[in-house]
Amino acid sequence: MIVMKNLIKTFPGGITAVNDISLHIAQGETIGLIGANGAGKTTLIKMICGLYLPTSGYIRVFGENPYGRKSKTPRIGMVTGQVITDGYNYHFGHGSSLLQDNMSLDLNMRLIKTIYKISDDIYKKRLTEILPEFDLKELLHYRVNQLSLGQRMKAEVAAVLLFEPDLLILDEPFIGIDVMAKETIGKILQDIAVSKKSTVILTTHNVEELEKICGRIVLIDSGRLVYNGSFDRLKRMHIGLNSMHIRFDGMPPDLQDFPIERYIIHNNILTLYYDNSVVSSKDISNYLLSNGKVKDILIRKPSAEEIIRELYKEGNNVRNNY
Amino acid sequence: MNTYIQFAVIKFRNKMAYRFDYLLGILNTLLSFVVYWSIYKALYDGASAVDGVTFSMVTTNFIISLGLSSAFSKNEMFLQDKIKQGTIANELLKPVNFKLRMLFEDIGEGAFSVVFNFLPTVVIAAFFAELSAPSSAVNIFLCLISVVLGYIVLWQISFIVQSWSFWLFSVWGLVTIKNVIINILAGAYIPMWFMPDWLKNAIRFTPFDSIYFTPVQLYLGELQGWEILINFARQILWIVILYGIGELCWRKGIKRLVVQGG
Repeated sequence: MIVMKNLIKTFPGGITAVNDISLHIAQGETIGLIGANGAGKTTLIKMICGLYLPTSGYIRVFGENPYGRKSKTPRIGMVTGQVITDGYNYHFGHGSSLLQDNMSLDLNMRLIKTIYKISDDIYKKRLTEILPEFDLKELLHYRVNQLSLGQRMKAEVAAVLLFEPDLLILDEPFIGIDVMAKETIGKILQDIAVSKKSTVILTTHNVEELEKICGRIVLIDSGRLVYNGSFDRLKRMHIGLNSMHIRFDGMPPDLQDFPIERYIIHNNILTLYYDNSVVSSKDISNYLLSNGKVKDILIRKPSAEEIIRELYKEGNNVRNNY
Repeated sequence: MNTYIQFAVIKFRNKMAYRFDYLLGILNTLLSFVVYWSIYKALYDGASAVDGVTFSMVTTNFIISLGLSSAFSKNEMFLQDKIKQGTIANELLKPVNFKLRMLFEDIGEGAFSVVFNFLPTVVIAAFFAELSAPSSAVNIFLCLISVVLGYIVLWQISFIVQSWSFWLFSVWGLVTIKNVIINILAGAYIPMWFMPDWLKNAIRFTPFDSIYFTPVQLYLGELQGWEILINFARQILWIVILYGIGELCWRKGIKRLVVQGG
């Protein structure tokens, strides 16, 4: 559904924001797009939407060149949750806000109904489904600029769900949103990907949330593709260090020459960081149990976030070696 | 087409939410009429006509231009805001014609101003000011057609200036200058009858007199036969020319956006 081959975008001034990315995304997939600030996520998204013209390379969305796509169907919906400035004021939403500030939420929703030619029945049905999910029912008569950041964000997501886009792009949608709403959005996204066969592309720094929602992650760094695959495979790659926290009754024993990366002793608690492929957790704990008075042991695998941090570092090393 | 009419309706309804705003709007419109009317009353000082132009013709001229500028009370920072905030990107994803949508939203906003600001002002003004009656029913009809055409001319000029925000940091200054130029050269403040001939002839080569002055002349029945057709033709010609320029600016601007980034 989305096909990219050797896609490059260089801006006048010489910054290459997207550098030689090739990627396939199938209909109904939920993709998590991850990258540090300035990694090229938004540029990539804008090329998918046809809002940026690639410098070179091939891109097709729904089998069409997205730039100058006349038909506008299948529908593309986009929500952005970044706060940007126009030089005078801070505004909500970079590159995309579906809602008009000085208009009530009710009229904003009607505007979307008009734009996407949603029939009265379907409009009412969807509205009664969506509004309670986001606690927006009581806020319908408020102007959008009277809403809090979190309410606004929920309203934006509700608005985009109203016309059930075939491709839904959410750029940092979790800004200012509470845990419950995050879960709701996550659930709804998975839902529409399955039931409506919508494709969802989600960018966020909130890796934990991605792990729950997305079947596949795409990691880009400095415009290059660093990783493309499932979270499970990422975890099996054994990147990142395990950590072990041990509480002793008395002094911890000498570690001798175990090949651990580093350790910290604080009061009676010893914290070890080690690479599981070099030394097993079993060997370390056996040694400690037989050489010291252990009260408690906690072993942690690296979180998705830590793995990704390691991947960034690796990406940097690869670049520095060239 | 129904979609676009809906845009106008929604905008109209949105304006209704700001009640204090329209009370002040009436006051504002009425105040500018009273100021203008008082100045010309003093200038006429009881004389029935100056250069063959009666006092009631002058006030009628002002009322009609006031009506048109009420209809044209649009947000001229609209496009700039969209570009600077980056929301233009999302607009381009929507399955509607952006310019046409913008036009109809402006019509909705203008209709509100006409109904709630301009019409009350006319009713109040009719109590103390002497206004010229339309010369005939046909002329009223012709006047209304040329008001619509004049509105489109005005809208196109505004769109062109707004579209420069693709290149400029702010078009606020240019919009203000444009509005002053239009108000003076289109004859809203000083009726064209009082302008020196050389200026009048120069303005004939610009789109400005087809905005306010053509409808005024039609209302008063000053144009006859061929002159009517020529004036309509001039309005339509300017719409075509300005549309071309606006479309060129718009396309160049979008091209710049997708190549250079917003």
